[in-house]
Amino acid sequence: MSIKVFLNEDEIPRQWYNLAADLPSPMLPPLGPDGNPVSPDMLAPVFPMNLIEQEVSQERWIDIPAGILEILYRWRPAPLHRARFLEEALGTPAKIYYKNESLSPAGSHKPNTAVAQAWYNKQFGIEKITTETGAGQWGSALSFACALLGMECKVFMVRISFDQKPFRKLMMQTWGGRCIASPSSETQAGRDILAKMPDTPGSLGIAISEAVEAAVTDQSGKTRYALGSVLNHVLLHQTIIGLEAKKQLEKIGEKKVDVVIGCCGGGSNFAGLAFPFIADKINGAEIDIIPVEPVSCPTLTRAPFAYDHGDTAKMTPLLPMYSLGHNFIPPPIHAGGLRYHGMAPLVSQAAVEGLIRPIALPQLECYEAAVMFARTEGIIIAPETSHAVACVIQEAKKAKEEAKEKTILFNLSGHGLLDLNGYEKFFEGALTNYDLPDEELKKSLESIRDYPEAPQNRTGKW
Amino acid sequence: MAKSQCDAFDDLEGYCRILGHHLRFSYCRSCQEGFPCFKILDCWFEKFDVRKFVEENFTAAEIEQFLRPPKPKMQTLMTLIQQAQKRMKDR
Repeated sequence: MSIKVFLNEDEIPRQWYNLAADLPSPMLPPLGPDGNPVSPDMLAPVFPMNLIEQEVSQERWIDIPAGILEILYRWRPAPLHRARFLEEALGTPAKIYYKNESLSPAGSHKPNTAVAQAWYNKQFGIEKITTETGAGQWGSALSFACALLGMECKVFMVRISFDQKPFRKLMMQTWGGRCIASPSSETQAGRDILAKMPDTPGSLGIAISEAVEAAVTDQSGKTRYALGSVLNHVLLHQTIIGLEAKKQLEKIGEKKVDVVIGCCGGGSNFAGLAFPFIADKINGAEIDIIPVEPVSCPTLTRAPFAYDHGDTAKMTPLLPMYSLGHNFIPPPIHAGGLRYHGMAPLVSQAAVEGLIRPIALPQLECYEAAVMFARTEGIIIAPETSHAVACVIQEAKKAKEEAKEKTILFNLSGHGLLDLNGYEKFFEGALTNYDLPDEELKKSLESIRDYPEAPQNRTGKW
Repeated sequence: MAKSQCDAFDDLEGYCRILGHHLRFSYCRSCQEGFPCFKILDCWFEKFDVRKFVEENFTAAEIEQFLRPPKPKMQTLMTLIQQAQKRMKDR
């Protein structure tokens, strides 16, 4: 029996799927610092208009240009694997499939949007793209994409990551990206920080400021900025993952998927696999679609969707978000993740509608799952991906208990070969679990009790 | 902040969800222009009494300031565009 399902290059999907067109309830508009909706022209200093059009598009299908497909062919269509060895180890009647995004040249799903963004920028006459990066996963994906399109790529890498994570920096350099430690002397934002704190190790906030400034202040108008998560057009480009998976399942006669699973940080890899299946669900299919997040940093699973200030000082406007209340300062627990609405708006709206069923899992269970996966399927997965695998194992065990032959599909979003430190900590026994007590949750919600309810924009169908 | 108090935990290591790799506590307590990261309590509570550390080393006003979470991405982008345009104008 075959382990991998391939598509020929001529079978690759020719269009991306835009969930915004099918959401049964409209998304709330993005708001600017003044609390008013952001208009497309306000984004023009950082994004080319063709990507801004995608950001606000309500078209269901958007053609993938041939020029982008030609680049994607280097590793796409990505194989669909049957996780037979994991199934055997679990003794489950469930059939487990996964899309292997670790096979991209940069080792994750990120190049799917990096290539598309670079291509659209080039079409718009842009010659240089700036971005920021921490450990370097996004910076290396964008450097790779720019190299293939003959564009310049400038990556502001947080100084401490620049010093401590040499391998992704070298990947960027190998692909011709110009990787600069941030803060740098190349921007006013960087110079201001360096004047005050010459030895600062930097932060992601400073690196973003530098990348945006480098794009906005280029007088030639030939530079723009790129972001690797959260925004609608980023999620759109990732839907090729789920669209390929549907074709592959069809090819082997799998008529029905019961469970679709993806790990969920900013939302892009989950969305990439899940959105095409959410479309099926909207049209009547019965599919359990599960985004998985860490218990220590949940945004979708435990906080209610409500209007709240984004800050404890109540300086920002009231925004609809998953919030535990602006006064929430944890005892020994998690603040930002619970209050910060960092999830992609499209994923949030799907959660509000009840189209997806978010869950949160503790880190020890996730690392145990990652190790089991490595020892059965052979792939050492990225720490984020381990959340999806832990959920898969739970679902497969449930299928065994219920004696049901379920079909489970998940996204293997990246390998962990440059992130082995987490595995080391796990083997040393240095990792622990923690869950937010219900009492704390109730107490913190008191601060938003009298605020206006966020419009749920929910049909109540799911 | 008294040096003897603030550097007591500097060599402890933890995983940074924002940057995506392991870091020493010395970074987390000072990465926002000398003030701690907004996620300092999230990331360190399991290893030592980080809340006590924060309360002993910073004023209530400072704590409220640095624990503010970031704004939604679109708001952040709009703010940064405006700031960059202002810097360009000032030059």
